[in-house]
Amino acid sequence: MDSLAASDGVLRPAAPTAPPLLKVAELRRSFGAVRAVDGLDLEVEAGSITGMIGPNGCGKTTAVNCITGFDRGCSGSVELQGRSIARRQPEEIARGGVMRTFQAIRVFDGFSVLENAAMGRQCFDGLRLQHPILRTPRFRQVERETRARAEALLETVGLGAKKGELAGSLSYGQKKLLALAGILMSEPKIVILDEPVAGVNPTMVHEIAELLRRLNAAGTTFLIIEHNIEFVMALSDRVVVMDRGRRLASGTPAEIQQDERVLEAYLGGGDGGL
Amino acid sequence: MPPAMRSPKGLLLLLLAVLALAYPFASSSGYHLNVLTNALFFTVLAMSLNVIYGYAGLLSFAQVGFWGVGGYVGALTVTRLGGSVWDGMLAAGAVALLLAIAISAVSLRLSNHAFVIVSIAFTLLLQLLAQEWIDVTNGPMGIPGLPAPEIVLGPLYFAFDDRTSQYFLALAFAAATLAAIGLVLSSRVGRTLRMLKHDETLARSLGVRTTRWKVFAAGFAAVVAAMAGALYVFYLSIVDPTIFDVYYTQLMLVIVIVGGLGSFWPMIAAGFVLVVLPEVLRTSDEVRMIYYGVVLIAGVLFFPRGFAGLLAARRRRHSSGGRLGQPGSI
Amino acid sequence: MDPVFLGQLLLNGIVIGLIYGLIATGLTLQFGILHIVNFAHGEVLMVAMYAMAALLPLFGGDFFVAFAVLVVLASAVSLLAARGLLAALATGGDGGGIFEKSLLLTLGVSIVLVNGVQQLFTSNPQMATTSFGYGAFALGEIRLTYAHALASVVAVVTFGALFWFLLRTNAGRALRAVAQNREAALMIGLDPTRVARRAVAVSLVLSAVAGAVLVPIIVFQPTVGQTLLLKAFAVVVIGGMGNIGGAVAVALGLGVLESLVGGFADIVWQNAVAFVAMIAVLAMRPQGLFAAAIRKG
Ligand SMILES: Nc1ncnc2c1ncn2[C@@H]1O[C@H](COP(=O)(O)OP(=O)(O)OP(=O)(O)O)[C@@H](O)[C@H]1O
Ligand SMILES: [Mg+2]
Repeated sequence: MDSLAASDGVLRPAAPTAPPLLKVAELRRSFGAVRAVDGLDLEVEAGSITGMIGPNGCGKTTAVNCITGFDRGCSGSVELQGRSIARRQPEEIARGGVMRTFQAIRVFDGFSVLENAAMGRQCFDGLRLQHPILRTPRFRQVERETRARAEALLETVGLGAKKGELAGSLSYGQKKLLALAGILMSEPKIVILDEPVAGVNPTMVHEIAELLRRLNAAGTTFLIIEHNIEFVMALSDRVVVMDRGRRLASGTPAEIQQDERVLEAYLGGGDGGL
Repeated sequence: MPPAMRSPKGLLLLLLAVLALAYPFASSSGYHLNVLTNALFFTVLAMSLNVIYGYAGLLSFAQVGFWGVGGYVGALTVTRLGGSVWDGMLAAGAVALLLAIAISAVSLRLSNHAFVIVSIAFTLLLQLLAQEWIDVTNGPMGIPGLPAPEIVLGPLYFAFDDRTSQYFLALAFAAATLAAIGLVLSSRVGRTLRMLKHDETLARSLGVRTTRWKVFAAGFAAVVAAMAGALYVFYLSIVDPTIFDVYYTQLMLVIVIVGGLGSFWPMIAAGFVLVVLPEVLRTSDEVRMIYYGVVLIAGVLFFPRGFAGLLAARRRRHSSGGRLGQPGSI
Repeated sequence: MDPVFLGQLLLNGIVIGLIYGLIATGLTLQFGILHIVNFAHGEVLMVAMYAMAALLPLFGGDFFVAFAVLVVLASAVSLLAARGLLAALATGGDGGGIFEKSLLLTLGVSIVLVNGVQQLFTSNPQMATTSFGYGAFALGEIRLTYAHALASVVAVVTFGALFWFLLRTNAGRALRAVAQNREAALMIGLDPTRVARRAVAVSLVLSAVAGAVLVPIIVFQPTVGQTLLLKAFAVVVIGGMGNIGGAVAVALGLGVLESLVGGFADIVWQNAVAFVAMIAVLAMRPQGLFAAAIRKG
């Protein structure tokens, strides 16, 4: 479809109100008396980098778990390209193109770095059960592609030299990069990163920022949760500030830096990480 | 050179195959052949547990249940429905597959622990049925006098009615089954099952439909156990409720744990050693069970990765871990 | 219908139900506190029966003295065993979590004990003679043997003590706190290992008590524990894993039901009752039973 539209030379005006790629409304999740997410609204435009900041415990990770289906106790609406994905199983949401990393980083320690990257694509290459089992020509073709893409992506995130090592032997920051490479394998519509640079050394923070910028320029949409304000402000097209389970403010980084409520929340909130 | 002979592993395999094929001609002891035949059956049975527990990480006490279901369905197909032994095996596999899908789909919706509980309940219920549903199972007496498997191909006729031919039949069955399992587990299907075991949440975040894969593992393991059970009862020529004995569960667990959960060749080796060794030591049944019990406890406590784990540790010391990045291992 | 026969069946059922209850509460307590299943729980009972049979002649068949000695011995052994089990559960590699590990370890222990006892005492049925022999109370035409009466009294007193312990003592409250919320219990300064050790020890003693009171009632073999454990297991699943009150209620219900089924229907159905009920519950109300205790993952 896309290629046909492009080749027939007719310019089509963009739909006047193109829906955001990801639209979250009235998202709620409580743990007993704690209202971790309390009516959150959030939009992520296609092609953007959207940053999300907020003090510790304000519900950012919980919101991500709700959006990606890992938390089954949430209410509210979550739409991807105008279609509801709320209450779907996490694997189905991932298959729909919403990929996330975990704040407490997860990789498959006992597998090689290359295998970890390849695992990010195995559910997206359209092979049915018999292909890998019988090692069909189609399987071998796909495997070559996967391998090439994994090597290229590992090279991109700076892990090219480590591809043969066990993922468990990587440093904390390297694991974060590996997890990122893994989810990029499937060309997701949106990538949600939960604190991609927390605990990562400053040089690497800079490298990750560069990497994300490049990937975004190549078309990947990001929602980035981070406490590192500089990192978020430098990188994001839009920033959402979360406080006590809801959206406190949103706007361009410049707007956010001027916003009084934000300053107040952070200064008043004490351990906001600013 | 054929590929099998290019590596030391291939050469070893070839040697084993020659030994296995030549053994009956070298030894005339029916007792020894019986032990080896048992080792073949029990190794396949243990491998079925390895698929679901060692790979997918789901501890199942249902494997002995499927093994017994296979035995009864196989026997009944022949005695009641007039099918051949091969029909009996197919029916055993089919029934086991349906049962496995039913119990795993229901219990896995709750949790992996619920699956374990249900797998215990399942086996208990089957044992009870075998004992009490006398109209069908003939109760504690069992169904004796099962016929020997036979091949009829036009004018060609062959019956597996002596120790030697039954040994070869078991060997062919074990080789084919283990090869099929090996083919599946060494492909990325095996890797997917291991992903479930290591980090189910991460696997789901990468799009893996974990429940479906668990049901797949349960079904696959059940079919293997049931077909092995079906063939085994024709080897014994009787099926009775002792086919559900905890002895088989114990044996399977010991083999899988000593060999190494999720390993392949080490587990097969463990299967042979653990079946043959007590025979060499000529212990009583009770003492053998005590051995197995002690080995199980010691294995869980001190060698949770089994023989395969020791091998891997050795290999890592000797080659600094580069092996895992070998071509084709993505 | 003969009211005497019915009364007799009900009474027998209650006695058996109380004994199931003694075994099942221990099993469910261990699950509730530790999230483990103890396959060797029935072997504790079996060993207690053999020990009781060995003690009785030493005291001239006086049940009460032998029982007192057994309880003291069982308490000491149970404390050690609990310590050992917890240490074992904490040893070794990842192995898929404490739940799986407990199943494998206790299965090993169970098999060693059953076959060990078989090796020592053969699998011949054992019987013990006690001072009160075959005497019985007569309630009209309904008979209650002294042995059955004693078992019931011991069971009721034991449950009373157990509930008093759980509801009224600090140690019991700590136990319930850990069962309900491990993290919270940690935060208020409870030591979960100590609490768990106590819970396991108490459970094992309960099983040993059940074995002791069964000695004058039934003929037994090394596999006696396995048969009874399966019933207790069904009781625990039906009652909700980790739910002590549920276990006692279901155990009583099962005892009575089995007794009635045995009296009015084909005897084979007697053993099937527990499993049919368990399967029915698993099929129809698994959420209701599991939701409280078994957590995802
Ligand atoms: N599983 C849970 N059970 C109970 N409370 C929880 C659970 N998960 C989160 N919470 C609570 O919900 C609130 C939000 O937690 P969440 O992890 O979403 O915050 P966050 O914004 O990601 O914080 P951080 O910046 O520290 O990562 C906190 O008060 C936390 O204690
Ligand atoms: Mg967080």
